[in-house]
Amino acid sequence: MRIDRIDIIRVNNPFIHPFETSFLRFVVRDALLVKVYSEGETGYGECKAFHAPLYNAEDNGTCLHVIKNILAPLILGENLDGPEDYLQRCAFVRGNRLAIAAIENALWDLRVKMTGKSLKTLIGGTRSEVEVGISLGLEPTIEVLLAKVEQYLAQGYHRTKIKIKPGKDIDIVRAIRKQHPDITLTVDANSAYTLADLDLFKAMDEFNLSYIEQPLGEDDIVDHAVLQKAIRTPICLDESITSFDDARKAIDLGSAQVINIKSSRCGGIHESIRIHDLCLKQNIPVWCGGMTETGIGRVQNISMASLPNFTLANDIAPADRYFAEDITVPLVAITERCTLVVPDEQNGITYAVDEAAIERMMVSREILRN
Amino acid sequence: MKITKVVMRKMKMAMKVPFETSFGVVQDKHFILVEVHTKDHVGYGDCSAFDVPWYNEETTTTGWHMIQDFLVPALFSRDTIERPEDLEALFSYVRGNRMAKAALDCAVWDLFAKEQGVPLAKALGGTRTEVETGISIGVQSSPAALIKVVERFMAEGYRRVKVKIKPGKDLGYLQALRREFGAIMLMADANSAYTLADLDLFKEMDSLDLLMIEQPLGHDDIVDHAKLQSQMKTRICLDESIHSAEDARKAIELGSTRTINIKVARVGGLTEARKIQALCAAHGVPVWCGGMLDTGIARAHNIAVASLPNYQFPGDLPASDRYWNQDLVTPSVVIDKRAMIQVPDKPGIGFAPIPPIVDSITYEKKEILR
Repeated sequence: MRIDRIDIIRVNNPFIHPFETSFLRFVVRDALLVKVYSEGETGYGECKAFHAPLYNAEDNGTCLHVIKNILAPLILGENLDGPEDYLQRCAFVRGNRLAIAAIENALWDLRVKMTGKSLKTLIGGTRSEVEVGISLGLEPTIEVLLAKVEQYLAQGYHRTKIKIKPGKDIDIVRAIRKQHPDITLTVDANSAYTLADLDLFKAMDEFNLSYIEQPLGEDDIVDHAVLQKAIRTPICLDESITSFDDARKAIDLGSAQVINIKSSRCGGIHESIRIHDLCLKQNIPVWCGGMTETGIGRVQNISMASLPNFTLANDIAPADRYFAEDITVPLVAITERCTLVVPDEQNGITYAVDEAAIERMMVSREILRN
Repeated sequence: MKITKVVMRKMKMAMKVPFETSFGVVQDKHFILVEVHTKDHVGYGDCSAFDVPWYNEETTTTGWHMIQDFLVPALFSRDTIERPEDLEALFSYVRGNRMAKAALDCAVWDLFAKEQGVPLAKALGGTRTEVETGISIGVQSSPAALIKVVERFMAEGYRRVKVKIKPGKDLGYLQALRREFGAIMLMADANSAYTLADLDLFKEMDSLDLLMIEQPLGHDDIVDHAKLQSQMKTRICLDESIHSAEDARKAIELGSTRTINIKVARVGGLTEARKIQALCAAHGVPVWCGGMLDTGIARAHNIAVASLPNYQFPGDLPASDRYWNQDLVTPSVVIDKRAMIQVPDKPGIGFAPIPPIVDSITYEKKEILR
């Protein structure tokens, strides 16, 4: 595929429920979309960075710069074999995996268009539907949170995940477990703890959590190994797995028994498949995490989660969970089984990009040519 | 300290001779000069990221964005700063981006020392009045060419010789130097160009009695380095993979390293550099001060920090005329016949930018008032 043009489109999509962290307000999903033009076809990829470097070192500002000035010039006007070829050309770039993944995802989309095959088929997916879990933030009171848990359980969500932070953790877990002794329950700590909190995690063992997500440092696999040896509950790593090598080392050290694969965090779908295959071999179940993405990232996540070792419920939301409007036609909707259907040749489902919706949400557009 | 103003400048200095490492050739050194003002004093800091993300994930552009849009607002969120260490909490919400943080951290340390009327070295707890510098030599075209370059620098007084290596330009080059120069302080820097598959090569290097081998494996690795260190006699020195005192603790626990190259820029500034040196001292691990092809301001901070007690190997502290035709600070840094640099005894960093030179290499400037 000869790369003729790359557009970087910045869109703002308002959240239905704006939220605040201690530093920033999230009123809109400020996102970069990458559209790659090749020989009459176009492919879309989404950059999953936020408007501030809160999840990892990247944000939309760094990604815009890296995509425009570092990555796009490597492929504009070039004849590429596909995503793998692109990844070799940008192997010298350290970090910046969210930026790398945006173009990589677009190249997969181009391959889908050019081969006429579904992404599921191209990557060897085996599932026709993927299960969806719910991820709930902290609420002002336990009662409010319990009501939310109730509400989503009634809708049939396959797993309940609660965000925790120091001081708002074990009591919440205990309260939910008391009401719901048998549900699939997990917690996500987003690196808010250290090994000094070992006793807290030992105490959580009695609640039979399916896993505890990223309890310690965002780039750590060493302390997590110490913690995992001390507790029965499986640890699930998120932030600290940014590559196949990270996954290999974490598994060697015994730092994780579950991995949350976000393809964006790992530089794209190609690296995610490698991590998936390694985990399959090592009996480490995986699932697909979310970054409050738009429809473009959402649809690619659904296809990736069709790989055989995605055996746990995923954080892939239907279009209407966060946004009143989305950028695919049709919109991604959840089934009554609380699953998302994987587009493939059998069911004939395809999602087109809603260019008119993109125009409405667009903040800026950079057009890059050779 | 009541900070009234921050001035940022994007700068570019042409290198006297292009510098080649395993990741590429540097022709122009890009950096950001930061001034932090109080009513009476100005503190200087340097964001040392390169213009391409091949050393770490940061670039001049990402550094500029982080400083301007996140770090200066965080700095201004407090009315006064008591000590430079206060910045740590203010900046903690930004993940990664340590070179951007280091620019402000170093500027505030300089300012703090000037307000106190003491040399920066003393404010940091330094004990030396002079520090030894070594020479760092880029990849050369042949062993014979390398010998010529080394000869020249040894004649100038340098005693420690560091040679950049990359696959194919490693063992033979080092052997040639040993044959030619005998028992000099010789070390190699691989900048992550190798993997565990090269184990035999590193075992062979054991016979060369190198002072150390710097960062042979992955730029974010401390696990594979532990395996390598357990199988070779030569001291491994970690550089890229140590971003913090936490990383240093884990690397020491795993046995991944027997010395650490503390680059002030890489670890987010002088506050973290001091923590790492204290931790290493407590574990009997010597440290030394590396550089980023530094211009006058970054070098000034490095000279100050290298005066701390546990800095036991010569640093990469280039004399003014090593990389540049004209230095941007006064006084110039000269080495004596023993490759020693005097630690300044004036308040703060002890070096002042020369305004016409600073202006002549500034290509973008921004003033941010409180």
